[in-house]
Amino acid sequence: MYLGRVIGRVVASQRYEGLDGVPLQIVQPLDERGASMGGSLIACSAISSGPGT
Amino acid sequence: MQIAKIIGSVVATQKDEGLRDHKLLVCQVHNHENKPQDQYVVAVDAVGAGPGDLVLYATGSSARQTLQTKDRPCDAVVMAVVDSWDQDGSNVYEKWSE
Repeated sequence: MYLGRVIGRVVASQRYEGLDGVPLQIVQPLDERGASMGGSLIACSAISSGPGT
Repeated sequence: MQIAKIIGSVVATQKDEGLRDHKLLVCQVHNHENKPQDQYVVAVDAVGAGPGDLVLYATGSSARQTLQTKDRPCDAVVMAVVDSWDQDGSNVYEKWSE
């Protein structure tokens, strides 16, 4: 597992049916000091996270 | 998952049986500022995406989780078409404003 910060979200209505209703968020990976590490990626949210968390 | 723009398609008649009837899309990877990168991926289409669409694609074993790609020789799949993209409180992309 890695640390990351939610920096945004993506809305996509035309999506694979297995992903229906799943929030998609832009996550910036963080290093052990909380600094940005590498490029951001899109993740499915399994909990109620939001931008800034 | 990563964001990319569909810039073309690949037609391959002579291919593994497992990929028969699958549309292959050429995707150019975009970074978190929506800038195109010098990085390209050929991905199987699972949602009916087309040229010009900004899409999400999954790679690796996740790419074989869709019904279309399960147990098939595929390591990238387009599984969503982006409608809008918000980041750091501002709108990065809006499909219908293009």
